[in-house]
Amino acid sequence: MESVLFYTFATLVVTTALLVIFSNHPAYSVLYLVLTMFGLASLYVMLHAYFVAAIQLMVYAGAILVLFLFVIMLLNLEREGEESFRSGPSRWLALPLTLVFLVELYTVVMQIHIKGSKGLSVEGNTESLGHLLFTQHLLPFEIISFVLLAAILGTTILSKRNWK
Amino acid sequence: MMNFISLLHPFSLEIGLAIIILGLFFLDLFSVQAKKNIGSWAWGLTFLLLLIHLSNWKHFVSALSSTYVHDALSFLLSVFFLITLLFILAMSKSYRHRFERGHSEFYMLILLASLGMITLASTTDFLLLFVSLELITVSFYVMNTYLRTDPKSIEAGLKYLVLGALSSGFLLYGISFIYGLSGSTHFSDIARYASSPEANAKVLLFGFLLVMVGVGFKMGSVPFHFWIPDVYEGAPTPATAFLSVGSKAAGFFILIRLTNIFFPHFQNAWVLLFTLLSAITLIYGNLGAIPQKNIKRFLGYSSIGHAGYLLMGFAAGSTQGLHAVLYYLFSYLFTNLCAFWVVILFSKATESDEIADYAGLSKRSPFLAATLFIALMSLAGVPPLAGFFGKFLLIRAVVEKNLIWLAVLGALNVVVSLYYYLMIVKKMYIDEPQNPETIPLDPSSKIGLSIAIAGIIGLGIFQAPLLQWIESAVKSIL
Repeated sequence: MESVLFYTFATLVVTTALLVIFSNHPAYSVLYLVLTMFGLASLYVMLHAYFVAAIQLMVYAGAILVLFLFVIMLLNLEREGEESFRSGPSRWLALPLTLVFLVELYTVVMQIHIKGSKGLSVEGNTESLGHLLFTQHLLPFEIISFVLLAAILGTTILSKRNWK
Repeated sequence: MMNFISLLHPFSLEIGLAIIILGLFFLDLFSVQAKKNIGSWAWGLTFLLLLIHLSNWKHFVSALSSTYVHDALSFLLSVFFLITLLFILAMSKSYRHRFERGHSEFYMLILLASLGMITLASTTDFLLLFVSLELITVSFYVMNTYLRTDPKSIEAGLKYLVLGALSSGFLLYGISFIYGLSGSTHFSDIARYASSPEANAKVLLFGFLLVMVGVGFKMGSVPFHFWIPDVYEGAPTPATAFLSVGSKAAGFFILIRLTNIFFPHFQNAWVLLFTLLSAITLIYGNLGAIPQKNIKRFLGYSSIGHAGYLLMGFAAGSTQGLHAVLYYLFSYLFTNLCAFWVVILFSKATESDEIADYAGLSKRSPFLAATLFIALMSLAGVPPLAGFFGKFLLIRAVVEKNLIWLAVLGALNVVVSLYYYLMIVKKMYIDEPQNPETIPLDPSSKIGLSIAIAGIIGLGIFQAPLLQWIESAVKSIL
């Protein structure tokens, strides 16, 4: 039962992720991305990481992608030109390299035995997550606030129109 | 008193820098007078921080279940980043006329990136490593796009954004493999797993290779170098200088920390990987530099070449190799920042980055011409200067490991690089200037450039003190 569910969601994630890349209209790409995020959230649920799953849905599917959609609709982006990304000599190099990478990935994954981590909380409740964030991972957590600061500073500066 | 502060807290340096960043925000908001001099404030406070930090010499601790250590190596690296930071802050002052707005914010972004570099210097955990790298990268996304009405700067920012995000993805994917195998993101746990009998060396190697994609992007070594020429050309010059020294060094410092974990377990693959990377990077960077017309693009290709030299130290894989890499990075700091500072001062007076316009610089400003001459000669590796000794150490480390062909390739590339560096020297000293106007220089830039020159010549002649310091630092992680 569990593996059936896993493969269903995994297929959903992979196919929608491919569709994100291959759709010609940016709005379609975003909608497929919503589905990808949904599939990922389901995978988190199967890992018993309920809180992460909820956050994944709320933040990514709920907030960020809706913002993406707004921007795309406001900018009124047209269907992108066929030749924009998908031409040039580099594509002939990209294909064999990707194949080599996939073959390598396959051989590696086939012989892997993930032992997982028992130390970390897999129950996914907020209490254990918060406990980890404020003890073991306190410093990365604090540094992330500076990453956010840099991002806010950047968006303000790069997008503000009339600067005094 | 100073030592008391540091005893109080193992994070005095990081917290100090964070306080400077946030304090400058408030200064910028509330004081019109301070807003004008925010660069000087930032410089002065950082200098104070460096002095306090230096007074903490030999005060080493580890914190947060040893995911964060202050050992001799991280002390050395944080001093490296602080010196870089001081230079970049000083040279940004000569560039601020190019920004139509957001002068003070540019300094804050520089400080934010440095905060990421300083936490990176002390981390022994993949999670913190990734977050610090993101802090550096996000700050650079913005800095590279800072001239937002200039299409070249927008192109630079966009290319850096897309390729930076892609390489971060690879890095994270690699970390997830390593974490999945060993059950920990902590370097010492991973090292313990790697030497245990149950270790799966193949998968671990695969994870390491993916991590190398992210690190290689930072270092600007060959298969991950595509962004360098365009970004170096389009970004504001202080940001380019910072990229070429701070961000590049960050990549190499990560690799130094990782050497201990991974090198003993797959030596053959390691040596093969780094000799190949080093050879291709050397050839590509040095041949690519020859036809360049724009000085920033030119220095970009030359920085790819230098990444090739630095990788030679990892190809050797020995402690001597690591010593050489660290020494080379210090000499590269003074040399490259000196060259970029001249580029900034030159473009301030002439609004040009074209190599053709450097014709007759010796008649327009003998000081600038002499400074650039010394910097270029040190980059090429001419004997009494710092660059020579760095290259000498690297080639010696490689020869000791019997990689003779790599050493010969390195030496041949010195000759090639001497050719293209001398082309610029010829332009400056022999060609006639099209516009004989003298280039004005403010005294603070003169002092700064003199310090950089003193560093280049000093490290070239008195190698022993820095080398001893580096040796003790490398010993602390073995």
